[in-house]
Amino acid sequence: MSMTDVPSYFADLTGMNETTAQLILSVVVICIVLFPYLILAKDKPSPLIAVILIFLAEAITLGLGWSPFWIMIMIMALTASVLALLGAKAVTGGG
Amino acid sequence: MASEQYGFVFAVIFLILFAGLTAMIPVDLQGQGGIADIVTPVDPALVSDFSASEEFVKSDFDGILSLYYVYDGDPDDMGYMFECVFDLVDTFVVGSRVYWLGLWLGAYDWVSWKGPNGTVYDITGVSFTDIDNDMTDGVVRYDLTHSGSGQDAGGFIFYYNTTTYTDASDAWDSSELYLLHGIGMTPNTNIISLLVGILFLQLPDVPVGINLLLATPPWASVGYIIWFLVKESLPFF
Repeated sequence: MSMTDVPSYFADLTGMNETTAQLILSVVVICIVLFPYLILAKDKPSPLIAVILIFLAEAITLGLGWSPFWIMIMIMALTASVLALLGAKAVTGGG
Repeated sequence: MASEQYGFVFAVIFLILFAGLTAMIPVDLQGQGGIADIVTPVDPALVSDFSASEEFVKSDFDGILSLYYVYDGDPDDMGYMFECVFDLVDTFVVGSRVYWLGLWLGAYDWVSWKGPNGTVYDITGVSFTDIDNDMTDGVVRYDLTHSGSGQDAGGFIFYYNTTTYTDASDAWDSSELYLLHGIGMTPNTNIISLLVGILFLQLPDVPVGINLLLATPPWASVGYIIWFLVKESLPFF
């Protein structure tokens, strides 16, 4: 069994469809990467670092074939939004 | 005023970053390719890199031994005509309909076939003899190119069970010579086609609702930028 087949086995095990299994496992991987940072930086977590971590975790799940391609585009949009907020704040002084 | 400028700067930066980040997505991450529904085991390497594929046997063809199929989500909205005229000239021919101002007037852009050994067969197609000569262990893959437009037309795989049938013609007669046509072999590597796919709801293998969700932020940014520039250029606002 390869890592790519894990959602298929998980789907068989739980009786859910494969797409749902892929999304659930992708969320688990993202949480594993993201939660330690959120716990460590509980006083003042940086949204930018959080987005970068989500991006990295999503790249892993996409590479494994667990999550669909459009999720990566959504994360790109999220990353661009966070960076644009920071950039616009720096340029205009915060609106 | 300040908040409008803030919105304008945000929209400009967002568009630049979104386009830049999307363009930087590695090709290998742009989908896993279609997984073909295969009856007989085939080397997976042969059917990889397809974003969509269709499989046929003889019984799928109609009375005139031709078959027309349109791929869902085909980025070029290109229909493919599969025509088998083996009774006449003993060849498989593939072409796509040529549209003129949205109308199909009966013209086809037929494809040429490039075999695994580099042999190129013209639009008259491949015969059972060609298929048997090019096959290795009952499988052969051809790369197709439209002869008119020069565009990639995907890949075409013939395969059958060599323990049951002696040659491709024998397998075809029993509806067990499988024809698999796949498109989207060339990953989406340029930013323009990817962004156009996002903006105009044409991303392959992505539900329209999701595509709409992805398209909304860039369109909203473009709209805001246009509104802001028009407003700033008009003196009476």
